[in-house]
Amino acid sequence: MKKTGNPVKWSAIIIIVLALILVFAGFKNGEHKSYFQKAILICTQCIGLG
Amino acid sequence: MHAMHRTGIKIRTWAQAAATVVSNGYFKGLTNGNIYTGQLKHVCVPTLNCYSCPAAMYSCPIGAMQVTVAGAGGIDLTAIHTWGARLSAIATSFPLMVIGFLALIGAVVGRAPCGWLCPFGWLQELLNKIPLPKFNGSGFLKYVKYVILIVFVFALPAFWLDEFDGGEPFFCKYICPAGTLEGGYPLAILKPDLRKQLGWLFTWKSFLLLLFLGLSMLFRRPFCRWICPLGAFYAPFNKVSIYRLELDKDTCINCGLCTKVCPVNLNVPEDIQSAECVRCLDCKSICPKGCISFRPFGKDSSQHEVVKPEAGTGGNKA
Repeated sequence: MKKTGNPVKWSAIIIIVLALILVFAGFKNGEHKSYFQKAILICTQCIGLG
Repeated sequence: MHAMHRTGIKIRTWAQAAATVVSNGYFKGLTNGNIYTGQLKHVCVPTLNCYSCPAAMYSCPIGAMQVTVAGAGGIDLTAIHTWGARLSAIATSFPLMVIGFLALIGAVVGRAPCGWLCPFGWLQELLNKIPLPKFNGSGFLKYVKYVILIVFVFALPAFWLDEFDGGEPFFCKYICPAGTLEGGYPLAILKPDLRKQLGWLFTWKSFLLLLFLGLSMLFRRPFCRWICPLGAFYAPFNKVSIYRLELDKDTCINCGLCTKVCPVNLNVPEDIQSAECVRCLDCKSICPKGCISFRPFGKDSSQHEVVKPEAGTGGNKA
């Protein structure tokens, strides 16, 4: 039976590499500081105050 | 084999309980209503978990996405009136980090965080154990969650601006029942000042919460299957993730036990790689023939189609 490479394997590895680049880019952008400022205050929208 | 199944279920239940406690381990907040403000909130959990819960120690990825897209706390979007300028601003405040973090998890284990770690998913499973008639629901409802991800998590926070030209977390504000349960009710109970200000929005969100809690008794994980934008984000990764569920069709006896225990009502032998699968592995642990596996990269699919039972023999199929 002829065997071929598993494209799923390579797509997963490519996604992981891209994901790591995105995490690094977001971190350099200070994205975590952006949502941290929201997360340490009571989100009035989330609790129904609008 | 059933003892093995019970062990598998037990491990997952403990994992769900542990994840709920780890995500919401700031017990002091449950006594005074003051939310955690420490450094851990720079980090998102891989599941839906409201960061306004008084016990929450980490950020919610869906909340973080909306906040970043809306530009709150990021770049100053004040006085940006044109769509072009808005798009340019969004491009520089896109939630790269959260998307990368979730994609990383999805690429390794697919939707497994839904099945093993999500507190709200766990609650729905527990409610479904109440002995009431069970239903499946229409197939098209699964597409609603993709619309919610695109519209309520990305489009509306990015483009529906308030009087100060700022976006809002529309999913948190108008839909998220986990936020109402984990953040809204505890704060309403613990903070009398906040309780006095609750209005129609709280009533609407309470209605949605009660609706999904009620539906969970009749349908398996209805919020996860139909509404959850995080589930929608993870779903496509089931098709490509490193760890994959696989069925050895040669040893499967079509007993139907896997389909019976599936918490998201999949026909497991036919939909083993489904985007709807939450990778709970209940099917794997109940299979009497051990023909379901979950391992990195899996086997080459050609290896599963070697021998078919001869016509008339019926093989060992049920």
